[in-house]
Amino acid sequence: MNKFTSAVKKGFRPFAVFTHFCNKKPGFRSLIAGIISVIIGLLCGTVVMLILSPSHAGVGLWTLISTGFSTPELFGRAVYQAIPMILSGLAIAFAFKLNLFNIGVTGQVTIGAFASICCGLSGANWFVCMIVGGLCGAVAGFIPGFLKAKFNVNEVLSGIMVNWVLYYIIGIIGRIGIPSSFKDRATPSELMMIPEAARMPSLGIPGMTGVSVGLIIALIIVVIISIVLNRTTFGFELKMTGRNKFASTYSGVNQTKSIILALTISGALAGICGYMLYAEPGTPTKFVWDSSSNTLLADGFNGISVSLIAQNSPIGCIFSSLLLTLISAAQNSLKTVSNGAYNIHYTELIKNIVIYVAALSSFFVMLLTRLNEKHDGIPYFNRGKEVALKKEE
Amino acid sequence: MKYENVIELKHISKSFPGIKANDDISLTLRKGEIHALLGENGAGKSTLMSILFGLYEPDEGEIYVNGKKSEIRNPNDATRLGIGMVHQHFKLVECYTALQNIILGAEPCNKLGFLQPKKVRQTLEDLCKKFNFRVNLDEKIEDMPVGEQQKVEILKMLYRENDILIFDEPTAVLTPQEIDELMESMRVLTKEGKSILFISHKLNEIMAVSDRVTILQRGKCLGTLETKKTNPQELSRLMVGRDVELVLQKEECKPGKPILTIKNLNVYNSEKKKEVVHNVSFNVRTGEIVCIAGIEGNGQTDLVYALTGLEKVKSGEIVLHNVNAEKYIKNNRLDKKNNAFQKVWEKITFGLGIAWYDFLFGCSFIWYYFKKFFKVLFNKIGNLFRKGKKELQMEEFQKYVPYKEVKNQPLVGDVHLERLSIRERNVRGVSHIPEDRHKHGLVLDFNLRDNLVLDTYFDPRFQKFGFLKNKDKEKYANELISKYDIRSGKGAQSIVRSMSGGNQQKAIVARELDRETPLLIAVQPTRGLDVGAIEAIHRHILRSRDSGNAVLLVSLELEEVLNLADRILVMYNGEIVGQFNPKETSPNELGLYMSGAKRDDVNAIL
Repeated sequence: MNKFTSAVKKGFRPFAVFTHFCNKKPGFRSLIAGIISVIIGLLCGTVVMLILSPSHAGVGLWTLISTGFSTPELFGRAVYQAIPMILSGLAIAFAFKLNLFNIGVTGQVTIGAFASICCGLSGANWFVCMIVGGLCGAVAGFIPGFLKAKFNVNEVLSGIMVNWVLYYIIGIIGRIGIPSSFKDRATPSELMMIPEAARMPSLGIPGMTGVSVGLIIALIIVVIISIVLNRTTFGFELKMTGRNKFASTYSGVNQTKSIILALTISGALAGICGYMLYAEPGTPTKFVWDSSSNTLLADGFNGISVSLIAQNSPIGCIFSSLLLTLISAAQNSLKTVSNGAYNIHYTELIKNIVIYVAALSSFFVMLLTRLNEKHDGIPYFNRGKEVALKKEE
Repeated sequence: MKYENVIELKHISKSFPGIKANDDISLTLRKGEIHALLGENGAGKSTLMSILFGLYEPDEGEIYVNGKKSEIRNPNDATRLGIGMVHQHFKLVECYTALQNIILGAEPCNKLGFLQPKKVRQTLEDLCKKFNFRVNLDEKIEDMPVGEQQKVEILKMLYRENDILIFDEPTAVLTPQEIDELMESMRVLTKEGKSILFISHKLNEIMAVSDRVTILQRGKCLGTLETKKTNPQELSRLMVGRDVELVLQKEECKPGKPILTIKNLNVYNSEKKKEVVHNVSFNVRTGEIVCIAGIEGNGQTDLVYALTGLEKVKSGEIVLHNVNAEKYIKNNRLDKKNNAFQKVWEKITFGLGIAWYDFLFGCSFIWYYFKKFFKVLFNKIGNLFRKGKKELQMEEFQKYVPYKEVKNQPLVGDVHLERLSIRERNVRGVSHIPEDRHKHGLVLDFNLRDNLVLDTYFDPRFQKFGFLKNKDKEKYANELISKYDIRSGKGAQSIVRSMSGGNQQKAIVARELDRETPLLIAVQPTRGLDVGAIEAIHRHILRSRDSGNAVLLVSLELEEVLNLADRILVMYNGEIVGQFNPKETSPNELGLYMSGAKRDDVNAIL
């Protein structure tokens, strides 16, 4: 037995209370693991900064942590950037409960965005646009789901294929299917900005105009999804099928239905994410319909890292997407703070190292679990009482 | 000193969250002896052995190996000290051959690091000859029967020159013949100077093979006895803490009307690519336990799969009589409320329903003939290329019962099961204790509460409008836990993976028996359980029988078959070859039928 263990045995109470709490609530354990991994991620980022330019590392670390919170504008920016990320992360996490990796999120985001913008340009209000985006995403998610359930086609494979198919279909529709009034006059390869009425209404928090109704909708969706997963028979079936396929067959779960529904819902979430990406209240970005650049949207893939950091927990997706946007917010000021010692490549590198290490949080969960199991035979803060009881006997 | 102690465990304690698995246990293992470790499920036997093998670290206590104090931190330490372990669930790579599995982790390499499996082949063959093992070294593990897989595990230890062998419930997965073989090899091993620690709760095996026996009860050591100076009664009393009836007292069986009738059932197994059940017909009546005996792999598994819906029926009928599942009729709740709105709504839906069914009816006809047309067409085309060869028989297709007739079976009355889904069968009153508890029976990452409602969670008791009533589930789980004595660390909240094998099995049995369905299909319900638990489960099954339910039991253990059954059917090579009354038959007679040496005319029996 090493020094650490014996120190614990003697009764290091805060630690004992902590392990006891961890054992009682696995959610708390994951949260702690997440925080630890983010801290270690930041430290790794600092090490990189130390190697690049030692004199600026301290300031750099502080910038990484604090920039996102420094002004309401920056914080608001981080929040509204996080909104669509929450949804794309949720889409991945939801499908992952069934052990399905919905790589088709990108295609679903793209088609959702395209459809909702077209809808908005033809005069619908914001809610209708969002629903249309969701529906289109759902249809795009249904295809790999159907193929997986009926013909056992690998969902990763068909997801990637559907991504590209949708991408080029949008290119074709953009060329022949939409009126030229939808296209931007200066650069016809882009769609017009979504009109005022079809943008998400701002919540009107002073200093944070970017924060819109989308935040509330995203939070509501997160809550609904976690209720569906934890409290309904459908969620029970999903989790059962994900954990043990044979047992769910044995208990009579309709797996075809579960798989199709899971991927369809996941697609719908991605579709809504697509709408939100292009409908912020201030100046929304323009959607490029032209498929000549041969690159898929990166926003869909961001969902993967969001869901990884959150360990596929719906509530965790909120925090992990905030983490990502807060760190990206620090990227620009990192350059100015260091007088250009960390140029754009280095800041990208630092940001990605932080995210990469943060995604290892499941490793820390495992570590904590092992540590907790070792030390929580009897809750240590009750040990004193036990000894006292024995003496009385 | 006459005996040399190879292992001494002194005052070992180990606790897990909520449970003290080992409490001050001391044990010695002498050179060349077979030392049995006896105890109930969850008494801490496996934990103690895992400590010895380095999978867990003890909280307190010391381990002496060959007289030297040793710290065993991980399995590598254990291997270095010459300790080897055969786990209950084998740790073998399924898609590797026996040889590859044996050398895995201790690969013979040349100087450049290339594998040299030929070098060890001779050593292994010598070992096989010495201990009389019949193992094909080039066969893949997945193609081997379980007994042979175990031999591979033992060879693995011998190849690593381990002198102390730990067997964790080695007989739980074996057939009677394989058990005899294992006992024989254990004796040979000890003659060669190996020492064996052997976990079991089968008293007859312990009496037959061991030299000394140590008894554990709820984590505490009750002492070590010389096997020769004790008897099964005493051991079972020490282990369970009370007197156990080794032979079951049961009331006279009063069979009533049939509940399950099977006619000319054929099952085709697509993995083995052959027909595994031929023309099986029998029935099971109320208040009766029908037992299917047979050596493993003679079609019992497939028969049960066909009955429960895990596998498709090729042809034949399965009829469940007098079904009453009214509570699952969807608008049952609405029927009771007879208000005006309801009536209007019913009229509308009725009209729509008729239209819809007309539509469906039309469609089903079109679909039926469409399919038939294509089948005939493809068959004709196929036959064009088969000139001179045997033509495909159209009867193959006609054997299938037309889909339309058997779908939409009623929830009340006599029901044809053969085309229903698993859920539809479940709901109509079939419960199933599966053979493989880790594969079909449990979701290991779920907690006990969720596993206890694994196939009843959609019941109105546990959900309302699709929302689970977690509190009711918890309450129900706690009821079952106390009723069936399921032991675990944190009660209903404990994760099933952390529970001992016997308690996992108890959880499945509790879940299925408590549904109180008219038909219970139990496959090896007492596999891996201790005497006390076996007794309890047998009692529960008998109680279910006495209350008028029918039980179909599939078991490999003749003792259980003779003990429990009211009627025995012997299955050999996919067919039923004999029917017996347990009071008028003997294990020897059954053995003859089971091995195919004798058979009766099936049609004459039934």
